[in-house]
Amino acid sequence: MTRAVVVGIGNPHRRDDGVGPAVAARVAARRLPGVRVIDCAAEPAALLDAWAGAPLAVLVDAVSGGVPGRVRRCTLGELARSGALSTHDLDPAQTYDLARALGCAPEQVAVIAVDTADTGHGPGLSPAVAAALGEAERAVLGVLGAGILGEGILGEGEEPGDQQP
Amino acid sequence: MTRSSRTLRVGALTRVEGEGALHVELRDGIPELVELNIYEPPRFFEAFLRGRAYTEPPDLTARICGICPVAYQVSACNAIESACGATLDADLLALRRLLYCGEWIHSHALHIYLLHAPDFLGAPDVIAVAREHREAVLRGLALKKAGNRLMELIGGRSIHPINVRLGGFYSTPTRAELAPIAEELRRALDDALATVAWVAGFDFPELTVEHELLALSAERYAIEDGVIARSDGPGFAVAEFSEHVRETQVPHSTALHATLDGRRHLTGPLARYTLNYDALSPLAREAATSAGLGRECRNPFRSIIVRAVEVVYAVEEALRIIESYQRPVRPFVDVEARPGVGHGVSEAPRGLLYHRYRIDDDGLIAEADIVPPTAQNQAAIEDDLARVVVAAGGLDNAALTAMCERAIRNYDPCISCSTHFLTLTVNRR
Repeated sequence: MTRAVVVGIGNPHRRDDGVGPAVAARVAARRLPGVRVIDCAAEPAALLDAWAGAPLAVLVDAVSGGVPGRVRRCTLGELARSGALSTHDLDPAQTYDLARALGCAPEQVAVIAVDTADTGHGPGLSPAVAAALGEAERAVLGVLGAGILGEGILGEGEEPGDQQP
Repeated sequence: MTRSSRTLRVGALTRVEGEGALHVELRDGIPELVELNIYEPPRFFEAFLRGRAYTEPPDLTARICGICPVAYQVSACNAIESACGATLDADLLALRRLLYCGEWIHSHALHIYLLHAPDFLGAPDVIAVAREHREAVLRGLALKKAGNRLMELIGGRSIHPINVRLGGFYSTPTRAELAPIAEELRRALDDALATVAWVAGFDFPELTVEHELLALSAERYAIEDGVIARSDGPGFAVAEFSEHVRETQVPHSTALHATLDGRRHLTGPLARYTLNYDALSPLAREAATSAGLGRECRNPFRSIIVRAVEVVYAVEEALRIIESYQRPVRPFVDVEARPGVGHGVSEAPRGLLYHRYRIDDDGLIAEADIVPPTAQNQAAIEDDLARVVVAAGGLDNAALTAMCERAIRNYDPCISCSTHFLTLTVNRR
């Protein structure tokens, strides 16, 4: 049974925009029971499918500007909205609104945002963002631990971040 | 007599693919200026294809569009295979058509439910539609997913498939691997028929367009290849495409405008349907009739019904191909480089997509020319807009602007596709 979904949002071919999938890959390597980890590019329907039926969704996304490498937990409402809907721009908040209207939204959604330095063309993270991967991963594990506390999503006595993939 | 002038502007069109704007100026109800401004930056695909290996255009041009990458792959393959004198085995052509059916299903379902239906339901977006019509939106998403799954299965992934190559595929599925998708498609057929019934109940503004229609035609409803047909005369060979369809630059758009023998023309679902009605399956024709369509459809507002009928056809066609499928004896035929020129066409969800390549003695691309459907349809869209503002002139500015946006969305315009080229002119003093 899926108790939580971790979604890495972003394009690994746009430098730091790939931080979401990079963090998701680290979480996936832990093979946590009941936790499904996926990458999600711009396709809105894919996100709808990804979190359908899960009580908790943790999105990891890049945020432009700010202090490169800074990791924050925020809500969907705090993410900047792209405004108009188009085929490419159903942003996570709009996708959540659509999921709610359809009755298939997760009960709880948390966003771990990482400030970027460089979203130019090409693979690879900037040094500041690469250095923040561990902190971002611990933030995701923290949400997972708190969100499903007592359901043993993290192992007995296991602390978020004490295990390296 | 009082003279009045009205200016309608939409800075950024919503629910279309890419970045475009609208500018209409009216004097005493008569449109003096109607411009679909495409300001998405040009993308120079035709220029950077030069010097690449003859094997590369299917993968490179797929990147022109995330919604219809298969159309680009197939038109590119058709052109280069034609230049090199390669002929595909019948079973590989069937698999190519099956992949393309997946793209039609997903692209049409996306446009019908997420982008176009809100216009008919007085809703700003699909989120508002979902609150009132939950079952319908769930059905649309399921339908779209079936198309995406088919693309994943044959193409390796649903956006920018990776399994397509000149001469066929890198690998082909077994019959057993196709069985689960057949199950999903059988459910999708019910959803597709329900979609036709759903959109048939919408109210449609009156509009009859006289644009000449241009589409491919084939024994079966044209998708992955065909000969060129037109409404006002005999068709012409694919190799003669650029003699008939000419592209010109207009100041207000980063996309080229195209004309057919100097006149405005229309490609896409209305043209395909009207020129190929007899090639539809009996079930698709029956669905069309029950939705109130005749043999012809020249009202762009009804294009949503035509797309729904085409989804019925594409699902049925996919099932037909899967039912008779045997794994091809080889995944691809060899396509040896040969210097020369090749022309290729296919029916993208939005209309006829033409590619031409010249291959040099070293097997490199020396010239590339790509004419996407949205570039061809720009003049038709602007003409429709002029008719709509005259017919609906009594509306206030907000309502008239909304009606103009609808007239544009009728075409499911793919603005990113249409801005792949721009001739740069530098004036030096």
